[in-house]
Amino acid sequence: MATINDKITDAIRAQARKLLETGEVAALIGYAAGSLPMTVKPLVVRRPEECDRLVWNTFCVLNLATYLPEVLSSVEIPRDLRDPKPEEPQAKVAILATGCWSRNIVVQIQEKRVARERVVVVGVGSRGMVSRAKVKALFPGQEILTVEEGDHDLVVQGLDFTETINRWSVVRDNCQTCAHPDPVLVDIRIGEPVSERKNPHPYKQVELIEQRSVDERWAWFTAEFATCIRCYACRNVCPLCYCPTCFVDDAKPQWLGKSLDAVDTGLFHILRAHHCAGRCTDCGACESVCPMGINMRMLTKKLNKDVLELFGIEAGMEPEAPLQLTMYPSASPEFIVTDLAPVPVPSRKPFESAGIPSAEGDTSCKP
Amino acid sequence: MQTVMISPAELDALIEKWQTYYAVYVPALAKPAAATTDWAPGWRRFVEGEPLILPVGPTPASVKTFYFPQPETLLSFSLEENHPDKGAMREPVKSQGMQVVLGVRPCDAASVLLNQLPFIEDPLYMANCQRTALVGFTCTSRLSTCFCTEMGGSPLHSAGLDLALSSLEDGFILEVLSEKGEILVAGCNLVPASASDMAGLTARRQGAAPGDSVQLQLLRSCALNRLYEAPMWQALGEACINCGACTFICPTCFCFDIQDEVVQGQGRRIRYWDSCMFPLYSQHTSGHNPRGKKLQRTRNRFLHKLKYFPDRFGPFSCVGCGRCIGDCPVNIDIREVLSDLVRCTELE
Amino acid sequence: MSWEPGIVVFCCNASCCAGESHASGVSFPSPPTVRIVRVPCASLVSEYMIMSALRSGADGILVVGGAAGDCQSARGQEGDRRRFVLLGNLLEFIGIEPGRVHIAWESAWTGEQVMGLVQDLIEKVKALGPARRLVKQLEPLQGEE
Ligand code: SF4
Ligand code: SF4
Ligand code: SF4
Ligand code: SF4
Ligand code: SF4
Repeated sequence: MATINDKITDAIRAQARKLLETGEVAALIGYAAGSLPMTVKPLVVRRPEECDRLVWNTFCVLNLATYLPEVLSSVEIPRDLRDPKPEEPQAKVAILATGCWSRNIVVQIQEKRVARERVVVVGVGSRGMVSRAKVKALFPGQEILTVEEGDHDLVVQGLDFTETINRWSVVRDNCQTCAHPDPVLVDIRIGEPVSERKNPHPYKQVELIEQRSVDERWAWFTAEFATCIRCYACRNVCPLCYCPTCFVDDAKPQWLGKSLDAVDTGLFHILRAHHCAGRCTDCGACESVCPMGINMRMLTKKLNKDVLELFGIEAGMEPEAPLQLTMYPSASPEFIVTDLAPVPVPSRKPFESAGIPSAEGDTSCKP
Repeated sequence: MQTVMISPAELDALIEKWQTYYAVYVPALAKPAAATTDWAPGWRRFVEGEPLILPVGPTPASVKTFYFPQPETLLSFSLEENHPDKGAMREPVKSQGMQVVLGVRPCDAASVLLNQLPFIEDPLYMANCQRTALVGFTCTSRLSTCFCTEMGGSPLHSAGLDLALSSLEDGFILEVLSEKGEILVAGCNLVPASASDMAGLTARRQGAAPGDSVQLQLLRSCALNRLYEAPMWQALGEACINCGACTFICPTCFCFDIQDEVVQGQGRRIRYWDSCMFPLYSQHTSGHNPRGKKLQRTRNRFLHKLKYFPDRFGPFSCVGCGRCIGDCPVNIDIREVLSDLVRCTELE
Repeated sequence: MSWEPGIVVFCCNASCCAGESHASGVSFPSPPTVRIVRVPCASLVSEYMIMSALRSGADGILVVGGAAGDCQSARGQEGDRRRFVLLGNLLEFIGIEPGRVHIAWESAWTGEQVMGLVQDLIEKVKALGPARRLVKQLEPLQGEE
């Protein structure tokens, strides 16, 4: 029997073919099957006959928005730097988007990285993506050769074992606490909408760290980042990190050293996270790609929590909204004077201002 | 050089003995505490008495961190007035103590020999070679991502190791392959391996060693331009995010950069890992970047391994350990790249 | 020799000129371990500068800026305020002792006020001891230490 994701795959292929055949878009960003179990490859299709390579499954852990600006410029008519901007509208690009990816596209629109009118968002409600690391951790010392995906189970097969595991139990942490699995920006919808989820403790992991003493927190931080090899996969995979020269590459002044020194590695992570403050959508791509299994997402998650609690903002919910971190609404003195820990004015209700419905959300996609 | 038999208990005793004289490292399977990495992420100091558990396939981190540490201090200097080193560069005294790396697989051992080709005149790399002893285990089983045999290696090879252990039913055949190996087993009363066991090992080796495959020969003889212009790079470059994951975990990638670090008047000139995947790596002072595009950098990594390096030094600069296949965030698979390249040598 | 904490003060020209002239006058701790970095506007203080100061071993860091609606560059603090609050919280989150990094906004600063803040910070930092976390140290050379 075809699973939900098989149906979505078929719908994506049909939709992609239609978009490319009618010439509405010049390219579509999606996924192809990977060469190993539980992997997928990002794929840009430009011709209708390539569309059958597209797949949708529960292992799509990257954030396709990362590729959007580049693919957009690849379909433009080449022109010299000094040539005037073309009058006629430029070719469009379609992109698959779940909740968090669509929010990253919104951030890209807000930051003028991409033009809204050139993007066709093909929205897919996310049922949560599975963490390859979590599945591997269940079978220590054994190689996983195939993983069959059902709607609620995964059948994991190795050389001498076959086991069925519950899908939700190995869904990534960020997906488990996600409140907006359904795309916030949709031009074409694939499959059924997924309802908002209401998680009573979305920031549980952050809170657990916050409750520790300052020395314990420092011990956690140093241990967590001790094995970072500075490969910058976490930075490069993030749709928010697009600086032509990242601060780690600055030479004069050089803000931090480049070797594996624990201080320099720590500073890299603090500053990278800080650059994503108010923009990060907790898509989890950074955590998913780390070859060393480092949970650098805790830092951005902490910032997300503060941004929500102090300023009442969730990133990427509205393309028209101004960038919240660059403004200080002086008329409303959120925090009036002098100290590090600001005092939010109690009458503000952050949840209302962020446009989050306060009604109980549906949790039906949890088995 | 001798070939002896060693039982698991004897091996444990031997390792314990090494620990009193040398720093012994083993692969870290779980996340180690911050203090024990010794600048070698993925490895840790062996703790006496614990069982040695080796993963199937290559160790999580490659051995290159012992030869090509990150960072390596090249020179020290001072900016302080009245300091004896003011205006002078001093070569630091390097540790001479032997370090023993335990649990190395044949592919990693081969990578050390490969990296010696470009680094042969590098005194620091060679000094690290001098002081590092590799104690390896030949592979009895492989991961699905292992492809050493396609790259001219073999799960049973021992080249590059100082001591090679191959398991038998009730112990190991221990091959002593170098002077360092001799030092490590000196004073041990070990029984020489029986002729039949040695013949068995040789037979297994012969059965498993195909040498350079036909495919690789095709690449060797193909004109560089043809591979360089291949259309496959477009899709590959588009998907690659140009992180350094594949190059940093790869045992045979060795790009580096050199910088001065100054803290409170004291300075060090350090060498640390760089990656051809990073734009800064090829950026000129003028601002021009000959590999300014993602596609060019992705292409460089693979062509360096599969064309430039063999053209210059002979062997291919990939030992088929498969680490980059498993860890690439976008699943760029060097085996697919290889077969795509071979396909494009065949196309007319 | 008793330890005097090294303090880095980032302050904007307008709000803190008074503070500085006062500083060079009387009540400064001696040896002068307080360094004042004057910037045209507090929003020019970047997270890099704060982190650099920590990395170079500053025991305490103070950022002084003007309050909302009272900025000489009209909207300068709008750019920095939210960022700094988040940075400060993040630093505490990863285990930098609360109190080492202090960020203050006030409408018209007087010299006394700024000096008071500096004095407070010095007291706090003395209680915390020298900074160790996120302070860059060179690898000791063989034969040293
Ligand atoms: S870490 Fe910061 S400077 Fe670097 S790319 Fe990301 S946003 Fe830009
Ligand atoms: S920082 Fe990580 S979780 Fe946040 S948007 Fe970037 S990749 Fe996603
Ligand atoms: S992906 Fe992991 S290893 Fe690479 S820089 Fe980020 S945290 Fe470090
Ligand atoms: S091939 Fe993969 S691991 Fe290597 S730079 Fe590209 S994305 Fe990163
Ligand atoms: S290129 Fe990949 S398979 Fe080859 S040696 Fe490097 S990590 Fe191993």
